[in-house]
Order: sequence, then C-alpha cells, then structure tokens
Amino acid sequence: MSEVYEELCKNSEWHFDWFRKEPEDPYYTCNPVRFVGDWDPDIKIKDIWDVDTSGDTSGATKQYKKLGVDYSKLYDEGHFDKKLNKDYQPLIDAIGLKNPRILIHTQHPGQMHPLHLDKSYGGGHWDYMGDKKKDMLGRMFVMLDDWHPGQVIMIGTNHYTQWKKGDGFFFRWQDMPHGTCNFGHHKRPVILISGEITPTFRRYMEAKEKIIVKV
Amino acid sequence: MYEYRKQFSEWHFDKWRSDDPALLNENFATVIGDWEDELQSMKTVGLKGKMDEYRKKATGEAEKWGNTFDRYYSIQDYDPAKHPTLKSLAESFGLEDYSVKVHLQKPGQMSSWHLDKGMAGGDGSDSQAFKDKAETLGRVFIMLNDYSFGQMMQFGNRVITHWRKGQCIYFRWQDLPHCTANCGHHDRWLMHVTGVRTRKFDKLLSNPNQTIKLKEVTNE
Repeated sequence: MSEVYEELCKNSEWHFDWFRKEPEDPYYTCNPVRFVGDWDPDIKIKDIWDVDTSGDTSGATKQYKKLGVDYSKLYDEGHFDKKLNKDYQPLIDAIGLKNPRILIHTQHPGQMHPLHLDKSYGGGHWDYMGDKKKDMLGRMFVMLDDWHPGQVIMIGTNHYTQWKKGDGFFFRWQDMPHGTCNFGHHKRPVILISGEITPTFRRYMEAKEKIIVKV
Repeated sequence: MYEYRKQFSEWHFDKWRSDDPALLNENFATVIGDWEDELQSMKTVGLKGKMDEYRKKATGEAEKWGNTFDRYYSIQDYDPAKHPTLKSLAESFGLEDYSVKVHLQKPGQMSSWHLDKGMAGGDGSDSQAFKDKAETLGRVFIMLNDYSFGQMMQFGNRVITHWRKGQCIYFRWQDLPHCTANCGHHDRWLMHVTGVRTRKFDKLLSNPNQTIKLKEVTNE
C-alpha cells in the first residue's frame, strides 16, 4: 500500500498470513468482558477534531487519499471530556488502565477506516515508561451500543461483529493491522482507551470466560 | 426504499438470530479458469440502464446512508464477444436469459446494506407477483480474485471474507439484505450472474461444492 504501512509492518510481530487460522489468537481477545450500565449510547463529543492533533498525520492523509478515503472523515473523533461525559466515568474507571488516553469514535454510515497499523504511542504521553512502553500499555475498545448490520471491525484475520452494548475487546494494537467500516444504517459509537496495564486490566486479558462488570 | 423492499423479503430481520443455511451457500461451486487478461482489458463504465423512479429513490437512499451510488463499485464494460472466458463462466451455471455484471470494488468503496430489486421488476403494487417472479430467478456471485485483507461482504447476519478466486456464492437475493466493502489496499473483482433457473441450476444448488472447469462439471 504505502511506504509508511510497509515500514510499520516490519516493526510488527504479527505473522501477516491472511489465510492462517488459529484456534486462539494470542494477539486478540474477543469479548473478554461486558460492562453493564445504563449510559446513553448516543455519546456526545465536546470538540470533534477537524484534524488529528495527536501527531504528524500528513503521511497518513496522503496514503488514505490514494485509497479513496478522506482522512478527516474516518469517524467523528474527540477526547473524552470529564465534565460532559461524566456519566461514562464509572465505565472508564472499571476498565483499569492507568494514566489513560481516552478517545471517542462515532463512525457514521458510509465511513470507513481502512487497514492500517498505528504509528504513534500517545505522542509522548507515556514516554516515562522508556523501552518497556510497548508491553506495558494496553488498549481496549468498549462498544457503547448494540451492533447493527453493516458494522465490522477487522483485527488481523478476525472480523468482529454482533457485539452487545458494553462489550470490550483487547488486541495487540502495536502489532496487528486493523480497520473499521460502517456500511450499515446506524451510528457506531465506541470508547477507545489506552493506558498502563493494571491487575484489573490484566484480569480481562487473561479471562477464560466472559467477565460481567456492573458499572 | 429499504423499508419498502423489506415487505417482499422472507428474512427474519433479527440481527441476533442464526440464518437458515438455505438462504446462503458461500461454497456453491468453485470455477477453475484464467480470466485475468480479460479483467485487465476492461474499462469502467457508469450505471447501465435508465435512471428510472426506482433508481432515483435508491440513489437518494444511498446518500441517506452516507454513501453515493458511484462509490458502491465500478461497473466494468463486460462484452461477451471480447471476454469469452467470462462468458463461458457465466454460462456454466445453466441460468437462462441471464444478465452479467462485473464489479470492480476499489479500496475505499462500499455498497450500503440493501435489498436487491434484481430482475423481478414490477412497480411494487403486487408483492405476490414480485415474489413469484423472483422465485424463478437465480443469482450467483463469482469471486474473480483471491480475498485480501479489508475486503468483506455481509449477507443477512453472516460476514464473508477469505474467499478464493473462482469461489461462487449463492444467496436468496430476494430475501437477504447484503452489503460489501473494501477497506483494504487491493482491488476486489466480482461477477454476478442473474437468470432464469433451470434444471441444471437447481441440480447444482442441491448438490453444491462442485468444481466447474469451464464448460465441464466434475464432482470433487
């Protein structure tokens, strides 16, 4: 696809065999946890970014243009706001990631985020971790609403669908190429939280059965 | 439009329920042949046919779903005289009075969740007439190149990925809503054939997973 993607692939530990089938993917855990709460799925974003300010995105913009996708229209994106989004704070607390960076993504029908690997590690946010940063950080997506047909999240060779409100999943975002698409008729809101792994989060990562957490 | 078309569908419209396998067979058949040169010789054309009232409504609806018709896929200028291998492929299912479309879905393109009108026509005033006509028609999707990551199709509640070149997908187009997207980095080629069902087609349907070497059917 592009020089940047190819370069990031070299740094990834994933196998890049799109037809390989594994009974348990060590890089991806689907639905280890469901957070149960009565939050409004229609989450508000205080400041929807006109541009991604998390780093230099000019390379990504160019690559996506080649793919026919406008980088500024992958989804509505903005930071979690403690005041406006206070109803969701118990959910954030229950996830168990320390010093988190929390983003809200609302992907509208017709939007897609093509296959990619993430380049940045928080733009300096976690540099205090030094070389261990890659393994000390975790990321979880929490689905804020039930799945609707036409909504798909790709992670490696997995295609995640039919989630329920509150379902959380974990994947090695440092290594796995991923993308999202909404070719359905309904909005798809998620909270994406990255931060330092704590014992609470590790429990979700290592869960053999789905953990239900009331928030 | 989608709501209107739903009344002719027998699907359950329950997103949590497993689908009846008779509605979809993603391994209907496998066709073996070499059509790469013919694909590469094709050019993109616009939507064929006149922009009738149905299409006008469908276009408006695509916009409602954040999409546009020209972003669904790029229809190619299939010509049976210039593309004999693909013609042979289209003929191999035994569908009569068939129509062929070759779709090139480029990265960034997607067709939103929809139901087809197919060739059943009608103005929608007689749902039974539509259903009766639709029952006589079969539709097959033939994947013209291997899957690559980021490409996907959803039929009813099933998402299909990881197809191989020549893999044929049968679905009850009159019942199953579906959508396709290419969030990957490579072109996705597909041909669909729609025509009047014959004994040969129904035999294939009741005995699927066959390998078809163009013009010749052999059991695996």
